Amino acid sequence: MHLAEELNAQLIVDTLFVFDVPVIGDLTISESIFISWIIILAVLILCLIFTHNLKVHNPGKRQLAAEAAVTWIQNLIKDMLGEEAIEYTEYLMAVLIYIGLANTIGLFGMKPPTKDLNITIALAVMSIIVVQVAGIRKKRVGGWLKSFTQPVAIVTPLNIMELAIKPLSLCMRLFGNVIGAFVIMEIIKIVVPIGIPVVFSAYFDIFDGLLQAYVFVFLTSIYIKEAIE
Amino acid sequence: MLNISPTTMVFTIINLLILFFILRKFLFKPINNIIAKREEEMKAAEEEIRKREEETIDLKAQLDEQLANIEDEKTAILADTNAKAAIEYDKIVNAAKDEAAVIIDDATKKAIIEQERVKKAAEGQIADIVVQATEKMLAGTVSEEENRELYEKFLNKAGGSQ
Repeated sequence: MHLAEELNAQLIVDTLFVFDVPVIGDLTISESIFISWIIILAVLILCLIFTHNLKVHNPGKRQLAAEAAVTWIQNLIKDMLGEEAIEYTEYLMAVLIYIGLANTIGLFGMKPPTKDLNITIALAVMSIIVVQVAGIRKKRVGGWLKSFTQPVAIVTPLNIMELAIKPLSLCMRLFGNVIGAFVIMEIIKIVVPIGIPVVFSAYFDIFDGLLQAYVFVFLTSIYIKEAIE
Repeated sequence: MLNISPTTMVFTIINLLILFFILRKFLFKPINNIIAKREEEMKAAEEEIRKREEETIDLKAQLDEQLANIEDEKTAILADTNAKAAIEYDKIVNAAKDEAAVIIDDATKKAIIEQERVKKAAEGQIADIVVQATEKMLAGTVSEEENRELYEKFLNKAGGSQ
């Protein structure tokens, strides 16, 4: 079937390069990694543009916009984390910006990297590592191990299972939302190529994309808060 | 779509860390630094204003105190001066009174002396005239006319000496 074939072609994560690294073996650079690099490069360039020539007095419009944006995101995440976990603000800001940009990059005609399960798995793994590190830093190893037996000893297996469930839910939620939005957008684009996709793109790429980035960061911040309680 | 690729995962983690460091170094730090600097400056300015205000209040209190002191001092000096002036006035008036008394006394004495002197002189002259007249009358050589002349001379002399 014509439509299914086209959709399938879009859904496949292309392999862009294969590097032959002596010790490790073949390094496959997928499309999603490459797009992530583009995102990083764009962020770097934007950062340099926006923080160029910062002034304490009489800041320009560019600087005011940058300050407002950073302050806004910072306060958003600080409010989620609370006073206790304020040191993880910058990491979560980076995650929010990365997922936000990755989800909305469909607007520029690129495939969102977050529709690659490997990317969302890596993000979820990073999140759960940060959560556990936060717990260990706060309670020391003994306290952290003990926290698995709380509130009652019988829930210990559940708590250990949560180590896998939390990141799994994080990565599946993000992946499912993005791939769902991507499939619908691709179908719409195939059926009605002009006009209609813009309207739907506003919802699926911008609203849902940013919402999922927010949800991911929000849940991670809740897990961090839980871990340091 | 669903094939698991450890390379992609590892790269994603590295990417995320790189993005984190880029954002931290090139966005969060500079922006937060500049905001912190501005806040610091504002705080410093506020502190400065507060300090100035305190200084002004202190200065005002000082000036008020000084003003009160000046008022007190003025009253004291005025009272002092008045007292001194009264003393000086009394002194001058008393001195003048004493002087006047001395002058009056002096004048009175002088007048008395003068009077005494004139009296004595007149008495001497009258005695002389009487002696002369007596001598001439006793000599008998005096005519009626001479007599009259003498008499008138006496009268004239007696009147002139007065």
